[in-house]
Amino acid sequence: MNNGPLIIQSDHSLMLEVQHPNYTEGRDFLVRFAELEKSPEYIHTYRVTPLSLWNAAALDLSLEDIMGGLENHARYGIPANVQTDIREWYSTYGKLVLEEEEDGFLMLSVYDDFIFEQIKQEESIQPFFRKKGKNRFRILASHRGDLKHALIKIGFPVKDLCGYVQGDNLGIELRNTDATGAPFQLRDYQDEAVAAFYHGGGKSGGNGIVVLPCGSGKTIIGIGTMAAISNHTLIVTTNNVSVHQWRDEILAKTHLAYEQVGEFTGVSKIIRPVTITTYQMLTWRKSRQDKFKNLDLFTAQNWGLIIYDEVHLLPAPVFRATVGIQAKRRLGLTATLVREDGKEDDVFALIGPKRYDVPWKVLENRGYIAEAYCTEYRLELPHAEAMIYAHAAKRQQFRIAAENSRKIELTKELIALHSDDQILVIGQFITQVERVAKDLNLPLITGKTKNVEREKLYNAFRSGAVKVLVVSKVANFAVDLPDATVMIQLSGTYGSRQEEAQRLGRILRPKKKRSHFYTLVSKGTTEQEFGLKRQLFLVEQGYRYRIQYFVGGARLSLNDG
Amino acid sequence: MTKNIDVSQFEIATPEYDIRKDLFRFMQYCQEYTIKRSVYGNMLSKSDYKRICKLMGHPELMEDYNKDMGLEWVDFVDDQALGLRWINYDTEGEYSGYTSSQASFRDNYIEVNSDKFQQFLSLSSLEQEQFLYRYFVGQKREYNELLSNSFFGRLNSFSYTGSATGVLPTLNFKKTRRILTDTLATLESNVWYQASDLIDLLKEKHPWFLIPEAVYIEESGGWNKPKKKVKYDRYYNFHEYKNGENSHSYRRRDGTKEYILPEDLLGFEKVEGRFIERFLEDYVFTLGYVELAYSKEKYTGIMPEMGTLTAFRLSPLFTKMLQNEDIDCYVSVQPNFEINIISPVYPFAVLHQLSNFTKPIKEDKQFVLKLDKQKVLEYLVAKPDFKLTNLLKELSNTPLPQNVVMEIEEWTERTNVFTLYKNLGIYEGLKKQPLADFFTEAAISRTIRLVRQPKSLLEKLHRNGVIALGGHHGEDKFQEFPTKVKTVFPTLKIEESKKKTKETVEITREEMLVYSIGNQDFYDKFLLEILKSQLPVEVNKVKKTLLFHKKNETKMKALIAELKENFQTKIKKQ
Repeated sequence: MNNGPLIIQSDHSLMLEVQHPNYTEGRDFLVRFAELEKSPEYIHTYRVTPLSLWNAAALDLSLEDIMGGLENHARYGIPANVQTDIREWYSTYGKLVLEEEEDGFLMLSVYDDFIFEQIKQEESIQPFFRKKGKNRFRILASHRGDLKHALIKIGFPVKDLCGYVQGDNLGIELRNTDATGAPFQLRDYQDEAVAAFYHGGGKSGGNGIVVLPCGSGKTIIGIGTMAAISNHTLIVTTNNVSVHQWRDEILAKTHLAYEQVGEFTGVSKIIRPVTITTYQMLTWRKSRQDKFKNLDLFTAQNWGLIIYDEVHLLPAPVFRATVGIQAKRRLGLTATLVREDGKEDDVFALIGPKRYDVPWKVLENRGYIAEAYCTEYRLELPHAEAMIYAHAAKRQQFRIAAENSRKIELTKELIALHSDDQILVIGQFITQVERVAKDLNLPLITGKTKNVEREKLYNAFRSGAVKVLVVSKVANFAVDLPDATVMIQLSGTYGSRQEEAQRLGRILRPKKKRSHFYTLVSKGTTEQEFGLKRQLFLVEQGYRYRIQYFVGGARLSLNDG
Repeated sequence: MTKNIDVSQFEIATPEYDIRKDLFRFMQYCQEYTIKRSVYGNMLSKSDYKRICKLMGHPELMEDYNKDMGLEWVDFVDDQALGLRWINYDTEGEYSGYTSSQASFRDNYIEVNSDKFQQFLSLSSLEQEQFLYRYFVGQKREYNELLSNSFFGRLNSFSYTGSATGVLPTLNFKKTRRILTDTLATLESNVWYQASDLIDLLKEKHPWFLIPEAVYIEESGGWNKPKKKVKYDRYYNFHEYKNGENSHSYRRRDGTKEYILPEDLLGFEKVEGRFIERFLEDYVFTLGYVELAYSKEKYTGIMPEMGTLTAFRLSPLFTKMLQNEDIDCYVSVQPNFEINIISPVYPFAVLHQLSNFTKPIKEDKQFVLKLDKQKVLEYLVAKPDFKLTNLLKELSNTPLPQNVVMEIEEWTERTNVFTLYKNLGIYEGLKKQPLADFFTEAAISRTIRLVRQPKSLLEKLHRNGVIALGGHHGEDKFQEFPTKVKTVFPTLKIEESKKKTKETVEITREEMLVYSIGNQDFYDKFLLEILKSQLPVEVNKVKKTLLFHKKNETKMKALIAELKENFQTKIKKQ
């Protein structure tokens, strides 16, 4: 028993005691080869999986370092089964190496007789093999992605050393001062992320994921990577507003000219050396029987880099398209590797391993993302609405509770409490946000709001001319509102964890003030039950969470933790 | 002793099941259920085995269930609970059959000895551990390490045909185990040692730890003579046998036996050495105090096996326990409603205290429980004054998260929403009714109260001239009161209004004709004809009318025609 901060469980979970003096050391060690599952206040849970170990192996972290570190930090030693599994899982990586041959062929070398025999027998892999040799398989270069994908599905990661095709050159240089004249340079962790991805331009780098919390500047890492590679680049993001924000950031932070950056959206379909599009645009088709024509964009230019923003949302057709472009450098950006559909291994196989990850707490402590306080306000339904709720069908109850009319009164008071802050009021139901906007005389953005109007309102909010903005769920994703410090969540999509993370992310951009995230919930209703799921998600992420009751008339106070 | 030997080529063994956890779960089960053992065999029932396996977290064990043999692991745990005197049941039985030689166990229920169990729970973690160790290592056993396999053991035993006689019955195993324990206490934890080094160490330091230097056995001195002490050879009757032979076979041919002679230079390794190996894989292993490394190679040497258990590593807990070091238990309530318990030993007491409010999430080196709203509510219904937050504050080494406190308070509020009243009536009437005050248990609204002895109240109201109605609501339906009674319950008025509700009525349209006849004579004769022909006609002799269905008009006209000899008729429409 060495009294370390780490308890290694036989189910491969690693529990780290936060109040232990060696916590920081332990965390920095674990983050290199284990996935953080949850981080509530006192004990954080990490998990070692084959994928997390392959990610570590891809980053050249040695097995000896992992085992040695675990021995040093473990309070009760490493269970025998965990030792065996870690050794086995880790050693699988690098046993299959894919390299380029002449004549457009690739060679898959298998450095393990047992694995070789298994693969030889595996039906799903057979179609890819053109010729078999002793522990070697020859395959067509066009099958590179399919083979890797098929192999990972049966538990064998491929070390891909085939390298990349050179994209068309494009001189991309970062500015020293941004468009507003403010000094600009990559932060140290952003620099590290770019370097970890690019790997000096070698074959072992050039594809993979950077995992950083919302507000930590993933766009800047994308731009930094573009500058490092200096090739034609395709950027895929979540929505049109985000497309504009990428464009504005690129123009503000690099010397690229306006004519060099194109937007491929429903409004304008302009392909330029740097082109930004959306997942929705790529997966658009006239009817279910038609082809995804816009997926041709992946091959429309000789791209040297493809950036997948919010890669955890990558839709299936884009996955399939990505199979065919394995010779292009691919960068995934995300705040979480967790996919609701559990297809993390697809991301590993087709985009690449996790290249860089910094715990959000580290960035919060260093002031790179805002300190956030979460408060759940519970309020009774007014008597008349409570009666309607009681008699409503179960499916309608959630909506009735979510649209509790007293939420308007509370919103008004919260706005008054944060009179000096930039506030976003967000809701799930259009009728609700419209009513709030009307009753409190506030500007509103919904899906119906035209892009020009949206941009105008977002800009007014950024400039401070508008201090409170009511938004529907269109603002869930990739809306860069750097000065928002308060979010009032009127209602949400049931217990969606992803939505909660995205919404919170809107107020995590670094600023001098603390950020406040308020969730308004009708007491004793199904909304409260769903709210509990969101609450659990946030506390497991490590956010401070308080519950308050709104009784009306009582003075509200700030949650200072 | 050589430290940190490389065990990468060996097979590492740890106990498959946690005896402490499963003992605890078994006790939980015994406390919750009434368990009757089988009349023949004194076994648990299949459904008990099934539920116990599930509770222990080993549902897969049921695949090995055999109705005649039960389940080995559950029976082992059951035996230990009985041995610890945490439970009682009849183990003797009585012979009550004519054909069976087995005892019967009628109405043999497991009784939980709560005092003993609570006594154990109230001990500190260190004391609990020492208590268990003393029990396991010190218990009387029918067969010792040399003659029987331990539960998780892999090494086979000496033959009890021969080896069990002679020197072996004279040995003091309790003392032997104590010497071995003391020797292990001098070793470091978390360090792999070679088993043969331990044997060498004991050979050097405690050569007589198992078999005394000189062995004297009392033997009968013959008829009517006192017993005499006879000196025996050190390894008298201990023998090895050829690989492939059954260790306990009575039919073993002499040629397969290899007697261990006192002058054998390897005698210590062959007998005491084998004992040490088997001691390591017995209760010290079952209690998780030691990890073992076995050779992966197939054993081909003489039996019982020797030297295949190659290395061992003591757990830090074992060292702590032997050295009387405090064992800390760290409890932390997390904002996600999980309770983390970090304890090098099984935290019996904390788990017992929390078992009424939590569900286990993980049971390993660290325990994770989750507060369960349903369980909390159920407990609070039984004990409404209980303050869960106080218990959590007392147990937790970290402050209780605010959201958890708030949620628990809300759960508590819910238990206050419903109160079950029994044997009461409902009084419904004027806001002020002093006559009812004495009987009032609780006021529900301005006009409704819950009252005790409703019949007495009704009589009292009547005696005082208050016109009150008594009623008795059925199990599935409220009584209906008369129409004009003012009540929140249904009245007959509601029934009447029901009548007003539209009912579906099917109306059949039939056309009837009336012949009105002015001539009396004709009328009489015509009527006579009608009667003869048996046509259905309604007759009004005063008005001289005939009412009939339109469909019979043709027949009526035919009858009129028969009278045309005497009468000229004409049918006029009106």
